[in-house]
Amino acid sequence: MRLFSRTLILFLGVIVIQSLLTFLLIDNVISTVNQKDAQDELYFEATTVDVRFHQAKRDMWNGLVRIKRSVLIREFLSTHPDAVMSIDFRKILREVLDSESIDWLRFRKYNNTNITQTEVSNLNRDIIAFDATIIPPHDFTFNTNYQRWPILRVTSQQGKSYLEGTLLLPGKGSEVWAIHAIRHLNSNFFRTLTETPTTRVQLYVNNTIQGSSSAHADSIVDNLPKFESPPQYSLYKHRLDSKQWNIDYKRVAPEITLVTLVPNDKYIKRKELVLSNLIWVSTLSALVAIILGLVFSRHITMPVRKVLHAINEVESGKLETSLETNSIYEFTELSRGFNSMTATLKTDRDEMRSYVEKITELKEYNETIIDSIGSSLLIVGRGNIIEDANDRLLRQFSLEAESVKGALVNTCFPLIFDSELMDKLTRIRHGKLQEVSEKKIREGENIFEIKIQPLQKRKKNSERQAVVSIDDISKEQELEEKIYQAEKLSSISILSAGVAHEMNNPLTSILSNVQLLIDEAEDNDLKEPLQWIEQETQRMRRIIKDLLDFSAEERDFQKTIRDKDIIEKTIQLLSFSTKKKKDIRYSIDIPDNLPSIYISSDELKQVTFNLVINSIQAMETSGEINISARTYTDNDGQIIDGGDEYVELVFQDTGKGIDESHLKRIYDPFFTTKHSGIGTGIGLSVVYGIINKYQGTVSVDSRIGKGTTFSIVLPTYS
Amino acid sequence: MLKSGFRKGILFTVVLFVLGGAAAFFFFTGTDSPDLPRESNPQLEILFMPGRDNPLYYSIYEGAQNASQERNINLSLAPFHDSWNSRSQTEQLVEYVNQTNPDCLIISPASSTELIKPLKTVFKAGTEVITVNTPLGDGNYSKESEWAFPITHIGSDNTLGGRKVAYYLSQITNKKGHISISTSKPDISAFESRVHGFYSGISGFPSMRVVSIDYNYLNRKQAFQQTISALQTYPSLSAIFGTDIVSSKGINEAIKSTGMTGVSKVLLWGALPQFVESIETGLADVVVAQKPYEMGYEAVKSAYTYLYEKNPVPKRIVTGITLITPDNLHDPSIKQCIYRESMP
Repeated sequence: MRLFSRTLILFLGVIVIQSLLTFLLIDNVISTVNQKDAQDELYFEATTVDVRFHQAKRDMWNGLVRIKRSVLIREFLSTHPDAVMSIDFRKILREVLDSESIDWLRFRKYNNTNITQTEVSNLNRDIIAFDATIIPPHDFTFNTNYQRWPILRVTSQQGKSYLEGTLLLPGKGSEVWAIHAIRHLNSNFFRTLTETPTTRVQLYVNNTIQGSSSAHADSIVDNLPKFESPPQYSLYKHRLDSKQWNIDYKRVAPEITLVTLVPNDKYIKRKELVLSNLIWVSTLSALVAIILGLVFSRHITMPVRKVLHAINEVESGKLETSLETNSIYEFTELSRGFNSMTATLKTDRDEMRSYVEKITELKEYNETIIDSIGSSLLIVGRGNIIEDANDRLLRQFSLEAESVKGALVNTCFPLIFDSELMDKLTRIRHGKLQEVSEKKIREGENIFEIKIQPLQKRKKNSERQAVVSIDDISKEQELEEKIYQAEKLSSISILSAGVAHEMNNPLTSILSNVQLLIDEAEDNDLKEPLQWIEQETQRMRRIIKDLLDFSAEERDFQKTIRDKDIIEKTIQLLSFSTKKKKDIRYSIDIPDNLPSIYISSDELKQVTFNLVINSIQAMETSGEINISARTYTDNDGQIIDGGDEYVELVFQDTGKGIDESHLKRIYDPFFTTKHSGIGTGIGLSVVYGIINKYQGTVSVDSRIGKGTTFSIVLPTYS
Repeated sequence: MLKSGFRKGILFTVVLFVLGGAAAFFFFTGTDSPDLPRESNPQLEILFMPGRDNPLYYSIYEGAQNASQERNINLSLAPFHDSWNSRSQTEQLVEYVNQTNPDCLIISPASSTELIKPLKTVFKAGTEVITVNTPLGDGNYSKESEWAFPITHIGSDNTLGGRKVAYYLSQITNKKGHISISTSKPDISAFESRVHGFYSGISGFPSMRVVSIDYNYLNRKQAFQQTISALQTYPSLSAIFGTDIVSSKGINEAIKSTGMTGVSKVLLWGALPQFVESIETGLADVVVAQKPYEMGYEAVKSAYTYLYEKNPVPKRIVTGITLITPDNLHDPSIKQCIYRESMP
């Protein structure tokens, strides 16, 4: 869950819990306050009712006391005992009473002191009513407990309640006046007892309602306790007229209870109002929390999101990412810090990239250098394990880098690294030997020069590495030999040319004279030796001629020579001459469209002749001589067949082959392994001289018992 | 074997010590209350001379009786009198002291002045005196005076009681109104103290004023008439205070008779059952409850402490006062404050 959602839920949860707790707390507080307020109000109302009710009694008491002590009344009653209903007496009473505490009075005179036995014949006859609307009931039973001090009682008759006061007043002589004061405790009276109009008052006599402030006398006595302990009050317990009432009931006299009822509506409404307001406030708080949450998210979580987004951007490599710094303080500081960090990272990254580029360039440069070095290099480390190898080596030995790195040196190059060289390699790595340079000839193949040198020690006490260079010096060796041969033949050629030139003239003279002598000699015995001399001289001339050909410098640049024709004609001539002696098969595979080459036709004929003669002489009785040709181009060491740069003529035979020890000397003049008289030992020297003259090359590959292959390469005319 | 026998010996010794220690503890301490005398002690003779025949003295006697039984004291009771005055009490005093020859006399003097001499005579004859409820003189026996011979006076703080009543009245009358006081005799310092206490209590409320003090001389009917007279004389009379049981009875009857229940606040002294009931019926508004049981109990206990244990006793032992009002009428603690209706 995201921070905002979590925070919002947390806020709402807190608000809900807080609202519930507040609800419970306020409910409790309101209930307590309501209880107290209701109790205070009830106490106040009940006290007011009590005071006013008893004030009514006090007023009646005081009224009766004033009557008792009034001289005017006494005199009037003494002088006008039968005029108690008169207006004058009424005026006197009003002056004396000056109160509304009595609704009506009854004055009754008795002559007999035993007043309790007096029968009341006409109730209303001696009643003075101060309020005409209040008429005593017809059969009202008066209190007959007369004393010389007022006596009050609350009485209920015919469903109505009254406050009745009695007083015995002495009259003239033995006459006494029994005075009754009556106040009707009707609903108006009870309403005057209350301070608040909504407050109700009820009067109970012996648990029976006898008066009420309301129009209809509703009784709650069934719900009330039996007035065991006045005063009592009861809150929130009673319902009357679908209202809840707080009730106080107080004994105002034995068996008489005054009940005060105060409606509880306002407290219930207050509680409902406060609680409903609380619910609204809580709801509003929740809404405000949501709004604040949104604002909060805008001001906090949004910046946080931006920071997260920026972090992701930075993670993906966009170090140019920056944050706005116009937010609230903390995020401004955070953004500044972030921006500073990304700037530093960017700088570092750029520097690092620069370094890496430099290192890469340097590495590539080094590798290029290493790869460009004409030698094949190996870096050999601990345990004589190859750590690196340059491309030249891999190309040279057709190896893959993966197969080389990590392999033992002698595993990769078993023919080169024998046990002796491995030992030297180990010693060099351990600093016991400075360097090694050896030449190794891989069997039947190239010549390698192996150089082993220690790599500069990078750390103290660490095992040294060694750099091994393996150079294929076959061509160099071959070239050296060729140069050597060329130089050697050149010296011989110069010597031979000098000798031949000096000997050619005397031989010519000898030959001419001998031929002359032969022609002149008639004696066979003389003639035969002369002929022998002539033959030998002729042979000497041929030898000298060959020597002169070997050393000849002039070139015959015939450009349109057809090799194939010359070779074929030469072969035909030779095959004809050897046909009877040996069974030799010839095959000529020369393309028709060979390009022109720099050589004269006679010289090409001479070369073909000499090589084929050698092949024929190398065969005992039979064999094969294959002559083929091809063109190619040498692209910086890479031979491309079909090119037009060189023409290669290959003379291959199945003769007895040339011993390896003789191979180096076959081009030397007069070197021959043949019997005397068969060869002069100058044929291959002539071939070499002719080909070399045209900047061509002659190479030989011969194996004893298998045959010999001569390869002649001549540049094309183009 | 040797080791086993040695261990058993140690265990036996330890058990013996524990049992012996326990036996010694119970022997020297005993299982009974340390306050009670052993039967071998000589019995104390105490004579209780009550005041009027009313529940206050029933309760005092009950307390004295229980304390005597706990201490194996022989408690004698002089007869109650309908008329509680100096003369009759002095006669009774002479008769019963001579008759019982008590070690200690517990008495509620009918007069704080007139009973000094006869009680001093008794004291000089060898009977120690303890006053309960009503004291001699000003009730201060710690100062040297002619009435300072009793061992102690045990009673409630009447001044404080009067002050408490006044304070409570100020609360239920909104601190205003005319008050009538009905009391018995001016020479009984206990009653006078209550009056003084009441005056002291209302002194802080200028709107409260005592309009009359009526002495009924322990005559209930006179108290009745005086109450009715006060009601007629003072039209706005807001309260009537009876400082003693007799006065309170008269007031209670007058209110009941006139039907003036609730018109004036009625303050009665003495937690008589009928007074307490008057609160329920609305006839009275407050009843002052002394603790007569404690008075009787503490009197006998003090006599025992002083005479038998030979230890000093405070010259004044104050028992508490509780106001019984409609608010606390049914508290369980209030029931203990109500006086006995009859002799135990």
